[in-house]
Amino acid sequence: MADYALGIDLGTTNSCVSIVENGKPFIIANKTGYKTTPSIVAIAESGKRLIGQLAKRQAITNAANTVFSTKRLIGRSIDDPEVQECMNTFPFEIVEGPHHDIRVKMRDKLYSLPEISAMILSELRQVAEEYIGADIRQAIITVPAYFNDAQRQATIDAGRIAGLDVMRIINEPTAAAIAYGAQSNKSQTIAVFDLGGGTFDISILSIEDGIFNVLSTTGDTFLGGEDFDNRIIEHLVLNFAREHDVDLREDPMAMQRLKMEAEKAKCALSELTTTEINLPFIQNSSDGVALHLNATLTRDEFENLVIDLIKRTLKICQIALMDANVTQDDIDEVVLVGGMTRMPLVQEAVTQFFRKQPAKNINPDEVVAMGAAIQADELLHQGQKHILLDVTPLDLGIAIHGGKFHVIINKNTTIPCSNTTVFTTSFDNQTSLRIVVLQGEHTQAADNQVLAEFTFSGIRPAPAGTVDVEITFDVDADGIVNVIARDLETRQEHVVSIERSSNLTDDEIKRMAQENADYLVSEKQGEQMRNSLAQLRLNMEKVQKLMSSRDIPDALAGYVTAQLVRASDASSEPKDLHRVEVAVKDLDKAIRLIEETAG
Amino acid sequence: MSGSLQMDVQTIANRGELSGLDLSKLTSLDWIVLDLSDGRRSFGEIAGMLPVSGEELSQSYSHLRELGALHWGSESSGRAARLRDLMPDGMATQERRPSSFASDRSSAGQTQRNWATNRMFDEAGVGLRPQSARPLPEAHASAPVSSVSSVSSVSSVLSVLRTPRDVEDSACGQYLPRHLFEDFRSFEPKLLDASLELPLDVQMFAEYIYEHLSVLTAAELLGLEEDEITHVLVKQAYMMRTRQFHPDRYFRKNIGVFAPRIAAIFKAVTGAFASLQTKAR
Repeated sequence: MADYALGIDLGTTNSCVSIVENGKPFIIANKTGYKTTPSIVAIAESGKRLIGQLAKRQAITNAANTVFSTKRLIGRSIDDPEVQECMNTFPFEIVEGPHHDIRVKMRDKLYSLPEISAMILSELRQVAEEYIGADIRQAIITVPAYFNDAQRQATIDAGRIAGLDVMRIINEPTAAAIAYGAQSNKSQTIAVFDLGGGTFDISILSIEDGIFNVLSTTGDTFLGGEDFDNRIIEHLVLNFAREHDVDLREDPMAMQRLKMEAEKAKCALSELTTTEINLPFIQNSSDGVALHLNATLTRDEFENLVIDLIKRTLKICQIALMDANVTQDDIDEVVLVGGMTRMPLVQEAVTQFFRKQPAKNINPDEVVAMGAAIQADELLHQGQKHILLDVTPLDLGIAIHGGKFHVIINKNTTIPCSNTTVFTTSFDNQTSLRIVVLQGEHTQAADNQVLAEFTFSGIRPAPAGTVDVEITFDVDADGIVNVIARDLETRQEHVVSIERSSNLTDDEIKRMAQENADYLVSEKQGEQMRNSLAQLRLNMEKVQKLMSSRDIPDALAGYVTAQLVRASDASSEPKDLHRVEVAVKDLDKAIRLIEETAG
Repeated sequence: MSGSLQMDVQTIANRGELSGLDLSKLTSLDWIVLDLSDGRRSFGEIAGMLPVSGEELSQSYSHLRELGALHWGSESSGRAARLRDLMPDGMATQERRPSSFASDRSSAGQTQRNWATNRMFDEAGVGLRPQSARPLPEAHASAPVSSVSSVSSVSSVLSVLRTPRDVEDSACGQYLPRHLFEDFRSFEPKLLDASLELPLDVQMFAEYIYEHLSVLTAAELLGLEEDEITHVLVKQAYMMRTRQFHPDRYFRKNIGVFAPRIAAIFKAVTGAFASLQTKAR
């Protein structure tokens, strides 16, 4: 049915799915009853996938096969310094993939990061389909505003692997603004302060007459709730080392327990002023004595640990205001997004900085998914209620002679957009141009992220500076970049739909999508088998009980016994679903017969 | 409301035979009222649809009635009404699907000028064929654009947009600066395709703009006169263009060759907006 489209907030620590029903966005609770699903994936010993709360619960005992925070890695290449850091601290194994990309290992199988995200997306999709009772293929997935091209592309790949038709990738703060702005028709300028699990984003938008115009967006892809957790972990590890002379960092299991406990403590301190952290038997001392970690953390202590992180967010807010050409006084409302904004100090800092109280009645965990669902519904049904004018978060351009970065599309340009610049050769008789497509904010080419590299050849040999090549950058509504180079003399054209070197090929995505679909089908069949078997065993018990409690004619007893034997055969070797189902039905019939004849 | 007209909010008017009438003195409002008077909508309903006072509206009604262009429900003998009775069900229902730009209607400027601009992009506006001797294309106005038979509707679009009144008095007022009216009127569209999910008048306008992208100034692109470059007007004009040409408006719609053209127009419009904003500062 094409009537529904999902809004999915694929978060670093938690994900959330929403759908518009009867004109209103709803958050759909997952199988365990929670409205958010931890972005954690594990493979159990049986080979079964565990996702969300189920994966989180077993993380301690299965640390090596439990993958989390993959959003921090997605779309990056293996030699990215951030990735290197994660490789040192994460308990699961990160290895290099065939495209210089990242693969993670679970139970000796390697998975690409889009595959991991696809598992979470599949789970959310399933939950939504069960709720609606129909197939849903279309979805909008949100990403941090500051995600670069490769990260966005990888997110689209994840959607495809999950069998979704990704209508659009939209920015999380923009989605939040839609959910917030959809509540009223007021013309206003709002700031969305989004401090999530792994990233920080700030966007300034003007909402006028249903047009959501992003004025500026900026952020930090490595500043989020997990950094706050890490501060607590560091603090505890340091104190533990002082006390017992043991370095807990060497023990992945201990670190996993610490991580969960730190997160719990952080959340507790949003409500309470002090909290206990107890981890019994966390380690053995060098002489084999069991050591326990017992600590008290006060809100003050915690705030001192993280105050610099909060200051960093405010500095970024200042940049966002400057980019948008507005001041604090122009901001009518501040919308808080992300679980971290529950921290009292964050709220105080935001209130002070913007000189106004943040908007109330917004659930910071759900607002992004809701906004995505509203936009998905708008695109699907063309309700013409609103239009999104989002922007490019980073400068886009190419490397030019001398190692400089030449910007072709400035950051904060409304998308879709395109711009053209004419370049020329820098050597005599140069016949080809090496074009390096960059995204970033540094003046030196080398400091920016390389989106693609290609060679434009066939240029007429001529003195330097005499042949013109026109380069056009085109950014579509998803923020995905295309580059066209054109020789103005020969009219020869080279179109590069940027295939990032670190991303998956089309064939790989198709194969992964097939694998994912196969898994889901076998999982579904497995579930049917389990259900039918349970039913069969119930029926067998019931028949046995009836046979012993009622006076049954011999002929019927013989028939029923024969059915029972067949049923126990079917259940002892549960391979053939059809056989089990037939056995269930036969026993149903037997029960009816007994009840009718031997009353 | 004028008592002599014997009308109240429930009064229903029908269009009469228009051929042979002197329609040259009709105002834009008259044309709109004429268009909306389908023999089903009551005076009250029509009043609710238009951003004008009841008095203005009843004046328009009486004017049209004096001319013989409208008949009250009971005295209905209009050709349109008779035609409708012959039509199969569904074709005659004058459900006006909101056109792609119709949401302008709800936007702030509830002025005559603003309202009039909607008409050009309203597929039902095609029904306004002032000098025509043929019956009003009733079914045409009600059917989704994509199912309109191409020949007649393409020519109707052209005839509507070619009427001096439509271009000068209203339609293009907001969409093109005055000095381009003449040029637009003589423009020969080549791409019009009634099978696309894009109203024909939008197609024509998009083709005109696209063909002239390289020569239009930033102000012209936003439909502004050079002396209209103020912060507020530039922003308003950009919002209007966004509603017309943002690719999301036609998300996964079959708009054929217009998809890249509309995207290109939007990009150019965005560029024009940025440069005019700097200029207005």
